[in-house]
Amino acid sequence: MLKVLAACGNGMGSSQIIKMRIEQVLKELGLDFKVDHCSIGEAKGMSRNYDLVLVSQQFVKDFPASNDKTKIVGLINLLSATEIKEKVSLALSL
Amino acid sequence: MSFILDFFNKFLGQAPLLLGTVVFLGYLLLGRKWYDAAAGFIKTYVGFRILQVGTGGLVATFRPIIVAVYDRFGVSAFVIDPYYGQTSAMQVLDSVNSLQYVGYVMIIAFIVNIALVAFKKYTKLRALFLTGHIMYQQSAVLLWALYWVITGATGAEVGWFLVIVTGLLMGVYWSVASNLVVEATQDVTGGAGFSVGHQQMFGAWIAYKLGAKIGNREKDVNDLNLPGWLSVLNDNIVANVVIMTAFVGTLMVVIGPDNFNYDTNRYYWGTFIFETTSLFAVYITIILTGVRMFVAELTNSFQGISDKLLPNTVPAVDCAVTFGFSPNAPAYGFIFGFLGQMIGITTLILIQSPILIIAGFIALFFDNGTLAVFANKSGGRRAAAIIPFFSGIIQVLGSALVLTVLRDAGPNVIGWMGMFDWATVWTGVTLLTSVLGIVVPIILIPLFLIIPQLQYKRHKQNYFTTMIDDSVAVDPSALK
Repeated sequence: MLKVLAACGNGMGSSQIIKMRIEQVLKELGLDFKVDHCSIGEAKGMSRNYDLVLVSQQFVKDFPASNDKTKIVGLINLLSATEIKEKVSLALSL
Repeated sequence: MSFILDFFNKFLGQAPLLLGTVVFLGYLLLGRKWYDAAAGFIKTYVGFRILQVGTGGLVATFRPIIVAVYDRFGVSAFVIDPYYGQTSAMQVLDSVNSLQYVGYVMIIAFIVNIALVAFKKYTKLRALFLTGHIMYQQSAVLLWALYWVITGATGAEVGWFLVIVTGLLMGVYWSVASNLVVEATQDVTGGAGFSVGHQQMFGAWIAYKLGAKIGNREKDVNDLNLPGWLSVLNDNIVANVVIMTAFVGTLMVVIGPDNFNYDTNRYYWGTFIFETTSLFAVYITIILTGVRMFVAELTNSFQGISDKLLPNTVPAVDCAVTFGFSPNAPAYGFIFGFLGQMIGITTLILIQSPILIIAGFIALFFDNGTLAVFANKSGGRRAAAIIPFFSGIIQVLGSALVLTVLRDAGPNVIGWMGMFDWATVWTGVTLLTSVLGIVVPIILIPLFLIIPQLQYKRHKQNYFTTMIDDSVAVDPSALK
């Protein structure tokens, strides 16, 4: 199962939006997944336990670089299913 | 009949049960399985109870400081931050057995928003407010403010008439304000197809219009390199502790150790201060965890319903969604907004105001950050500095003004929203209502609805086509 974390400044509005969009995308891709959301502050410590971390582009530098286990994906338009699909497919090499 | 009445009191009269039921019914309406709906009910209930643990703890933490400041200087100290406003509202309403009415206000407002957009041919309203945590927060704070200035300290329950008026006004504000910034948000995001549904839409619109007059949009703030330490602000827990330690810690030092009850065998004065100020972050984190849990369910349910009823409507979402399109602007807004708030607070002290304002993280960062994003788009870095600076002053003075009437609501009051629209528009509405009564919110409902008509008159040809389908992705390379 793919474990996904969506994070934003306060962990309230924007990460909830990312969560709803990524769920839509992963469903389209036919994957088995679970998505959580929280603030950047909390996510920094938790990211290692996830396969995929989605944040707004400017927060990518707050995380250790993508590695084999955890992929960090930065987004510009959090509402764009197209952008999320493109970047996530690339990160997961689908 | 008495069974129904009983049910209204003992089941739907309990705020968390009411919200859980809304989610449960919403999920069933969306065709989810009954066990999914039941899980939604439980998570809404648990999330709401977690939120209440946080609001109770926040009041208990802040109360002794308010008392100590009052004893020492004879002024009332309040924090301007939306979660302090929400905490005050929920605690005051709960103390008169009326917390459940917040849920009804929110549902009425949501239905009003859907109806106004459904009839957009006539109403000219295009955006649907979908920021769940803000919807609950604003419903709570507006109901508290109007209840208090109309009913006062009678201890009476909130009446249905007030609930309906508040719901209608709230729904009209969501529709009109998020519609107002559609064009500006399209410019900021390069046509990403959404609008802002938050706490500073009037502010963002002013910032965008004024920015064009006082600056140069070519001198974009995103072409600058900002110092690296500013990224500490990205960590909300660290930011909350740092800001509270700076402000409340300073206050405690000024008041002195003799005015606080603490065990000198266990604490240095310094560690006692830090333990107290970091408790704010503890309870804010608890509040956020609770809100996140129940709002996640509520938003799923609301968005599912609105997607079915109104496909292809412009979603109005959290202000921070715009930050990705202008990554430097929020930090810029924070710095200049901070300076403005300091000037505002100094002014309050100099004029010996009965209210002392303590700055809060969210108004500082997210509110002025958003104004900076919009100001920068039309007026570059100069606008992104000047407008948040003045906004900071306004946030402090406007909130202090409204608190002069709301502070009497008792020991549960620890703050006010502080966000731009709440320090201006809603401060005005609350003060006017305290003088003229419920007629003010009633008259405002049709008055607000004139705004989209004026917008429509200015560009009829492309008014409805500026909304771009949200499936259009923005090319990231074009933003670099």
